[in-house]
Amino acid sequence: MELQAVKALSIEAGKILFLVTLLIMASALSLCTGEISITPDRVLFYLKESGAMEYQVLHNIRIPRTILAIAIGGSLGLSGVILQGIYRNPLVEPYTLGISGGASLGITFVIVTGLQSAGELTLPLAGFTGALITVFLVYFLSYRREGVSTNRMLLTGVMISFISSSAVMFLMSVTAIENIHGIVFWTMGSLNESNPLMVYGILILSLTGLTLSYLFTAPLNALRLGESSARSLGINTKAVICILFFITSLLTGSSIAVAGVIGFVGLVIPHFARLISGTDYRSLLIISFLSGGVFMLLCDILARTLVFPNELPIGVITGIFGGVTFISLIWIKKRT
Amino acid sequence: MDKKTYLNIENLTCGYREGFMLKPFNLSLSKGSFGGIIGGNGSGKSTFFKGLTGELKITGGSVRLDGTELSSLTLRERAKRVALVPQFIEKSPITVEEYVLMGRMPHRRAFQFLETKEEQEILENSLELTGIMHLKRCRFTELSGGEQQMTAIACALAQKPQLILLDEPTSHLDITYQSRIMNLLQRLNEEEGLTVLMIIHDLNLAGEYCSHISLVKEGELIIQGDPEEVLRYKNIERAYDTVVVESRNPVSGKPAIFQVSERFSKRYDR
Repeated sequence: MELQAVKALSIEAGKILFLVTLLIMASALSLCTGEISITPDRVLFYLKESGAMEYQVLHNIRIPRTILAIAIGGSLGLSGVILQGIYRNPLVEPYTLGISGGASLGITFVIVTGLQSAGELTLPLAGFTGALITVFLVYFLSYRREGVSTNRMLLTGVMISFISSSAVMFLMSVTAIENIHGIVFWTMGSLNESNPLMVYGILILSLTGLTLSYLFTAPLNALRLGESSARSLGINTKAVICILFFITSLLTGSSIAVAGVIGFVGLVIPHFARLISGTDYRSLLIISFLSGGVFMLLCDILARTLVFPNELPIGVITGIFGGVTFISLIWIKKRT
Repeated sequence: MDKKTYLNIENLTCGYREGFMLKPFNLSLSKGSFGGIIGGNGSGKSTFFKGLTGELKITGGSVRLDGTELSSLTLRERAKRVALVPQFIEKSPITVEEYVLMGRMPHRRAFQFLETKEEQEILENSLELTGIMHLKRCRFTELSGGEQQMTAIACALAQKPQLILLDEPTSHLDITYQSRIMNLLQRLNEEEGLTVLMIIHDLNLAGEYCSHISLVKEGELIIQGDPEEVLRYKNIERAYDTVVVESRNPVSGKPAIFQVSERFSKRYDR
């Protein structure tokens, strides 16, 4: 029997190892492709060759971009899988819950009012605040004495999304033209961010999010049986859900602040992760994080190369690529 | 404390703020009893259960199990003692094995990551008892209604509780599963002294298996006691507002209740 557990563990470890390998390969590809192409065997060489132009390209453009793609893809995948676990609804993602909408509103507000110039961290902070306010607004609006109704929450989330997007449009219509450009550019999403504070900040945040949520694997696993069953198994569901909301708003809000609204990752990645690893959160959290990173890297490479020398907004690629993958996954699942 | 009373509920009240409230509820069961709660739809049976499990905050009274006040326990400590098989089971695409193992959750050490050998044994034992060993690797969503109910019961058994609460475990099931579930509970009740308390709609099943029955109407416990005392046509007609006749199961001699169609009951009224 012990052997059985070890066997199951090694299978999961194998899947994780496979994804890590994929992640490394995708990162290498991401470092190599671009205006100046660098062959994989030369990457390590140029990393130390401080005189070469490739050195500048790698250190100032491609490495930050690669790290950002992994961190944001991971954060969004993780948020999606946690939210779907809380709601036990496969359609939930940061976007449908209004978290993305709230973050967008916060960021637009900061751009329009010119508060942006106050400091580098203003944008991510505004995104996070917007996300957090939305989450708790949604939570308390659907709170009743008997507990929180998931359906109400979902409906409230969608409504808050609409309200936020209307408010964003309102702000855009009353503001100066140059601000509109900034907002539109930001909304379309881009991983073009070279400020090391932001890049490493997001990386640390996403890894912290993964570690923190990993402490909640047992409650997340119990929640698979429904909230009332989880309670009767001794889980303080209200507290757990509150903490997990906090973690997901932190992850989503900061991701959106840095890279704009990148849809679909939070929805598609959890489905994909469940397809390869089942429903056990002990591996599901890690696998969602890793596959989110791989997916984002691949989408970013496509965004950079498809219409070279121009660049597509990353949201366009994740939307199309993710949507098509999702439909084909459902199609395959139906046929087998 | 009286040794005989194992589960002791005194003046329990609970309910919803602007709506249904339970009238003070008193119930005491000895260890190893098989308790049934009957009553019409919306009579407060489920509300009472929610108060027992802590899903609803109780507004008054006390619930003691083996001398311990349940509301003073943490959810985890409570879950070590009381297991619940809910009326509506969430359909999640997890395997039967994973589902049943969840029952060990309250007994786990903090941050325990892997299943222990002991847990595997309890799992096998629960699957064996409920007769779903062959479904171990199946997904919960692919099972029939009866098999799903058995899985939920196996999960509750894996919890190794002192008291098991079941909310209508036999509704919507065929008689094969009804008998299987009731016989299993009876066996565990007799052999292992597991105290059972269930909400049940089928009066004849209640009469056949329960050692103690409580009849609830409009949030009030109107009569409780032996099936012989409770399952009388007067009580049943009062609680359900329906014409019935009482009789006995010819084999077991337990009380049975029959409904009477309007055609006959009119003639009977005259």
